Amino acid sequence: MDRVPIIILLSIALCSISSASAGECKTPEGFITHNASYNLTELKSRVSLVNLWAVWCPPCLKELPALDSIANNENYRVETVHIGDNLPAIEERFSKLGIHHLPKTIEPDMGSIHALGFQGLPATLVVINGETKFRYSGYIKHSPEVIQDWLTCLREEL
Amino acid sequence: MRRQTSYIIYAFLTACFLSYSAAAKPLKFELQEHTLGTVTEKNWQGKFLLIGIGYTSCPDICPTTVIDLATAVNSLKEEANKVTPIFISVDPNRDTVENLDMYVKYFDPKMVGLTGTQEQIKAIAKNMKATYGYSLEGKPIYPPLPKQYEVYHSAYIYLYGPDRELIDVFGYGEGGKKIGQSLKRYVHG
Amino acid sequence: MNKILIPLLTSLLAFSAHAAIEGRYDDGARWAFISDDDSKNVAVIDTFTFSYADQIELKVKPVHLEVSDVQDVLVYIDGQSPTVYVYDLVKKTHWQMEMEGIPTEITFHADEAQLAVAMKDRIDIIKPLKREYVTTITDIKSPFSMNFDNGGYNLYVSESKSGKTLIYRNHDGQRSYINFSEGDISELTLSPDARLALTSQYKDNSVVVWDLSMEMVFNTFHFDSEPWRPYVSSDSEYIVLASESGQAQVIESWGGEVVKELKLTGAPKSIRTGWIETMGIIESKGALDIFELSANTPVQSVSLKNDLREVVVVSDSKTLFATQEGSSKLFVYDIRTNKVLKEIDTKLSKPHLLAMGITNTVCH
Repeated sequence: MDRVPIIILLSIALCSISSASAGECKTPEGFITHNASYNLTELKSRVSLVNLWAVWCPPCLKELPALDSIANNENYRVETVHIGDNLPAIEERFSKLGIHHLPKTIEPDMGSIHALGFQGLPATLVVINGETKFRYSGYIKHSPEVIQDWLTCLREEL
Repeated sequence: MRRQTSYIIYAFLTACFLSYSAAAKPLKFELQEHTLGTVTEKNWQGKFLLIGIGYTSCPDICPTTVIDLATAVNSLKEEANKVTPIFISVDPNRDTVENLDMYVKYFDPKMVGLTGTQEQIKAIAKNMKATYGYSLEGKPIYPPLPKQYEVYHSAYIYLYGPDRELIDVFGYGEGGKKIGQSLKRYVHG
Repeated sequence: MNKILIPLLTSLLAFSAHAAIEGRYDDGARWAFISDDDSKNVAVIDTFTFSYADQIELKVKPVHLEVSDVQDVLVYIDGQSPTVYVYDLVKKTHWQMEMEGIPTEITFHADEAQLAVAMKDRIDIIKPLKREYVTTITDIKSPFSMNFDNGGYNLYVSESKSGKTLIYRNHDGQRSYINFSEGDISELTLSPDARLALTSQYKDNSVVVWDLSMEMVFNTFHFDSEPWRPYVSSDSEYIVLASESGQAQVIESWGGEVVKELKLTGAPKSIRTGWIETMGIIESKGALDIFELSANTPVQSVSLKNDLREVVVVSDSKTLFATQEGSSKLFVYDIRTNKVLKEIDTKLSKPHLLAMGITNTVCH
């Protein structure tokens, strides 16, 4: 009688451990599948595009407006995370670039870039249900629409 | 007989001088800093210097060189003030002394940003045995530079002692933490 | 029952996270992969801590092994099957791509995503991670050498018999040719700053240096015996040449002057540079000849117990690692302090190939 709940619980555990298949959504070029637990910031959506950036990083600033343009979407959240504690600089940048939909989350530990296995910025992770599934190094070479469609597809798959 | 001896001594001294200077030259430079103006290796007397080179307008991906310099020095905690972290821009065409200072201060208030004329940059690169250059579409290009170009440079981080002798060089991928561990040994030793 | 279950679930979930981080040999400057002539095993060596880390089993014995630092894959060929084998270092999965012929050589583009695969009279460019074919280059005659320039802008294909070199522009397939040497020639060597192309010309024992910007011969160096493949330091400052009789020269790459001439212990087997490109290292039978590239100091010879097989200087230019004949251990040399360090056991019976994502050596 005790066995049934145990089996169910174990199956759930095993399912969450085994890597989820990519399914039908076509992964845009440059996004590498990569499974790891996500611990950096608190996420508010089941599908999140976590973008690590900094005010001193020109390609990061270049992609912020594109990310902002697709951030207002109920299917996923764009979670910008600034590496380095500098809220005044972040606010100045956001104001200058006309950013309205991106969070001003700060990760003060500059070592987190390396810790996540990245060699530089910008660095992007796609996190689904608290698990990192994809990563991308550098400036995202896709139109924001491509990213928007992909993230929406990933959400619909769930 | 005396003349021969003096020639032999002179030749011996010359040979010694040549081998000493070729192994690793002591740091020597003349560059510009935002508040201090012209600076040389004589500035920051008594301090170790941890130096990285690069430029600020990274096209697709920005390396963590300056982060590594800051992390390494900060890992020394109370002894952090024994080491001055310096970032030298090899792209004075786009990096002014002013915006370079603003750039390095984003990382850490103690970070120093230096740049100079093309001649001054060339001189320090040669002195440190650092490489840098400019390229466009896979081919090297030289100043005067066009509007668009890429910069390449060696990724080493150099540690010089208070006597301005080269102590060690750290490579790409080592990271600030590991460099910090080596720094601790050298600063204590 | 719950007392056992919850900790069990927690440990299972924790294990998945832990496994994802451990065993990630994805720092190209740190991990060295060593193949074995006697098995399909590859040893993983940590060049930061000078220690043995792990063992990976491949599908076949490789004759050529490459690491993509950016995409975290090992790519290899066995010289017998028309296949390129791939191993994902993170997911620990294997797959393969079938080719039109038996690959003889593989080399990564600077983006570390595209791979050029050499076969008889053709090169296929593929993307091993995405399992895609990009394009085919034909109208080339084997044997040939292939080199991407440092930015990956061009692929240089140099025909060993004719001496003809094709410059294939990667992004649009445009072809141009340079004929600066007459076959038989060695593999082509490119200076990392894309300024020079060099090759050894066997018909007259010379080394021809071609200036790619000026489109003319920069200089020709003559030897009294067969010259080794030319070598350029990673900072593009010095050219190091050596010949069969043990004659070696260091040439300053801008002015073209010979700044040093030296006599090696014997015929050269490999040429390397290190310690922020101030030192030259040439292996000859039974010895490692080490010398300052530009200073007028004598050559130091380190005697070798075993002949070296594959020699690599790591990206911080301070240490040299090499596989050895007749030993399961790696030879380790500290270039900065001129000391032979403790050998590292690979636990393989005949360690051979030594591959890393990033090294100090840009050309062999």
